[in-house]
Amino acid sequence: MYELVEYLLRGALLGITYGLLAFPVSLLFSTTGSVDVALGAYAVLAVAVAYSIGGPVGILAAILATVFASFVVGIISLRLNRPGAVDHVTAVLGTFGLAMFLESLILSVFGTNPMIRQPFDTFWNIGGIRISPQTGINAAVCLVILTALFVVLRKTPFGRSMRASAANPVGASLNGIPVRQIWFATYLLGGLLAGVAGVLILYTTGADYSSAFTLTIWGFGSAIIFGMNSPLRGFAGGLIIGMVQALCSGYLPGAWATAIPLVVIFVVLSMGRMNQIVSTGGRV
Amino acid sequence: MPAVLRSRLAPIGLLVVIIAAMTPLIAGSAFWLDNSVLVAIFSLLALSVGMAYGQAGILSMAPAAFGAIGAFATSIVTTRYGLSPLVGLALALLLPAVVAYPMARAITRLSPLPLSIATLLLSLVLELAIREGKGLTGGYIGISGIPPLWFADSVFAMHVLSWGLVVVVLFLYANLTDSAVGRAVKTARHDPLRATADGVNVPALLASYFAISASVSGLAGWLYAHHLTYMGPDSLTMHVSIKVVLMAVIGGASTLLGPVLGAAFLTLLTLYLPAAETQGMIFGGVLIFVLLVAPNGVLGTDWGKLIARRSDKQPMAVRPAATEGTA
Amino acid sequence: MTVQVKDITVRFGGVTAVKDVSLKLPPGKIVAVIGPNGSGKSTLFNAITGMVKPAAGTIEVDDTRIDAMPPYRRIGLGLARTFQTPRFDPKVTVSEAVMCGFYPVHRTGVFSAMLRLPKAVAEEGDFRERCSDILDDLRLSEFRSLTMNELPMGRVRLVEVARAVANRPKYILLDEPAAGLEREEQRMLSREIRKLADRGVGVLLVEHNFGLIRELAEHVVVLKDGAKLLEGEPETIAKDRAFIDVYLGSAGR
Repeated sequence: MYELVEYLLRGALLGITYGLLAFPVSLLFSTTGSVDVALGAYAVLAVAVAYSIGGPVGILAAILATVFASFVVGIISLRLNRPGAVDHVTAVLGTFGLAMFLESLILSVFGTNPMIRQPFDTFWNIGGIRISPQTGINAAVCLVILTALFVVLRKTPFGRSMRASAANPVGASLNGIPVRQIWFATYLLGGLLAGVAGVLILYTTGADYSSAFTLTIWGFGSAIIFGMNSPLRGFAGGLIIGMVQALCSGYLPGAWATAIPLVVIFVVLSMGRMNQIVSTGGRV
Repeated sequence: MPAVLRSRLAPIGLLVVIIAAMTPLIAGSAFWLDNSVLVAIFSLLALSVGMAYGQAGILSMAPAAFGAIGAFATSIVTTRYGLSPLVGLALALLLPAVVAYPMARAITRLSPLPLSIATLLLSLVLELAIREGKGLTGGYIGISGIPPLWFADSVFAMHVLSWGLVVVVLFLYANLTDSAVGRAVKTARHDPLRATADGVNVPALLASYFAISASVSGLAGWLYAHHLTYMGPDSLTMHVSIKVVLMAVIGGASTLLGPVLGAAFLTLLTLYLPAAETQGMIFGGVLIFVLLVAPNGVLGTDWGKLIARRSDKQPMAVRPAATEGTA
Repeated sequence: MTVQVKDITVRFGGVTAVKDVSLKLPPGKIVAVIGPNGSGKSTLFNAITGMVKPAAGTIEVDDTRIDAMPPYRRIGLGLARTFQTPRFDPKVTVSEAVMCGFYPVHRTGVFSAMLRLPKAVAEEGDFRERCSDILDDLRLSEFRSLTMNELPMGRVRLVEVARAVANRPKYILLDEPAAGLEREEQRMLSREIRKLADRGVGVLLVEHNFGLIRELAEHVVVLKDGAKLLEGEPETIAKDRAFIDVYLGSAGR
């Protein structure tokens, strides 16, 4: 029982970073209807840049690098999609290309070593469970971003336009809302959030060049588990995925621990959570 | 243009001519024969992507995974149970379809986007399973000593066999595209509701089509295993999948010969590329470049129109579909 | 032997789009549904073809309950429909688009199609022949190799009709087929609809143009706010006070 609680708690703390990756997934999906598979690669890029430069400069450079990467994806998607004539699958393909590019770039520049920094050697003791203060920082960063996002989406004109272009891109563009610019901004925002997530991952669990697709999957799984349309739900989904992972690695042997969370995401996918949103789009 | 050239089978005839002309030139070189077999294998994988993505709009990140299923199936039955490679062939065709159909059925209710995520999941899970299935798949070590095909035991025979299979697959694919089913798949890709109104059971149709495309991957895997006589966890990974998708997209995923052209181009390019770790950058870069310049691929683009539009410097005309759809 | 719609109710969230509507579509008859925008005409269509799920009521085609069937099986039973906003792939040619309409009657399996067995060749040839007949009937032959985005909207609607009649349906549901058509095209369309009915096809027509309805329909159902306001012969309806208020009044005529 005590063990179970410990796993759940550790899982939830691990899930914070997934929740952070889930933000851009659900933001992008609800605004543009597309998926950016390169999100995990942005995060690994941030890990690599922040790791090799180090300190606050490194963190800044890491985030700049990811925003630049998402800039490229934004351009591709603008080239392929217009309101009324969208081809999400091709845009997704473009993000695969970028993910592959980044993975190989990280491999050739930074090598195969795992990249991790753990600046704290003291631990908090909560009910007998040792927890690094870093997880406190993660939770705080996440809450700040969650709040900021909530305010931007609900209270600013940008957020309103964003929701309008999500609900009906053609209608929104006829009403003078610059839908394409909004889409582009959403991609950039996605890059920014993935960059922050990457920095947190560097200081928590670390990553290596091959983590990109798995991270994308965790972010993606977190986003769909409770439905794609709200970042808050994505955050909750991140906690769940983290807990599933922690439980699996606690109670199951090696590879099962990695495979079961993937299967869980598959099951969630097949429940049609993603389709429900797509199907509400057009009028019959 | 004579009717023969406009026929749906014309591209296949062209391919046969090209291969027939190439064969005497490379017949003396084991190196080139070997690469020719690889191009044929990758053509089959890329054709599988062409069917799933180019026709049905399902972006599959698992062609290599389905290929690995076929390859491991034949490797296991031939090395561990001493069965004929033909048993392996049957399994290699069947098993990928058996995995693909329910997976697609569970997921393609409406949108192909979730399915492409699911294929990514499948790739990751399968790679784990191969590494962990020590007794069956050989784990990290893999399976070596896979017997060559007794009916094609030289590289030259493999060259003939594998291109023969490419031609057969192309023939079946061309026929299927030009049939009620092929048209329904294309409609369903563009507008599932329209296809439903045509009386199409969209999820079942797309899932079947996806399963057929998975079988083609399985066939490629079968050839791969018997050609290289070794199959391991790093043989047909997700990176191979992405490369294969790239091949299909470069050549033109919705065309017949596009995937073959892409496979030939990228396989040759790989021969002259530097170290493995930078290859991803080149492939990824090329993919992005192609998507930006000619998203329909080399053979799927109307180059005359594209160049004319560029030189006019006119803003792209809004398609009537987009404007009238809102009226 | 009819399409029987009994007390159909459709709700979207809290909004009732169609409320207790019944109608009968016998073979060989033309029945029109009319009503202001948002009166539930299209929703009624979607309920019959299965694209929305009714909350209550039953639908029968030739004494077979179809309201639990998925849409594709209803089409297979002999229903066909067009869309108010034509849905088509802009890059497909006119004859290819019509060829798509044969799907419900195709009998060759995937494998015989792949192998091009003689059966498949014969069927494909039969479809091509029927396709060119249909295109002739609707005077679309000269446009057959144009792509859909090269056609004017009026012709696109005709292609929609051609696609719907391709599988020789027993009942056809036309959603505003005459909208945006020129007078000459309209006349041709109404001739075609009449011909369909004479061949024994039941036609359910959603239309705004009362002139066309008067010319074609034997029976008119007037919807308002999702409920049936009145029904009867076109001439009686045209004189009805309530109809004039609701319909012509709101149309500003």
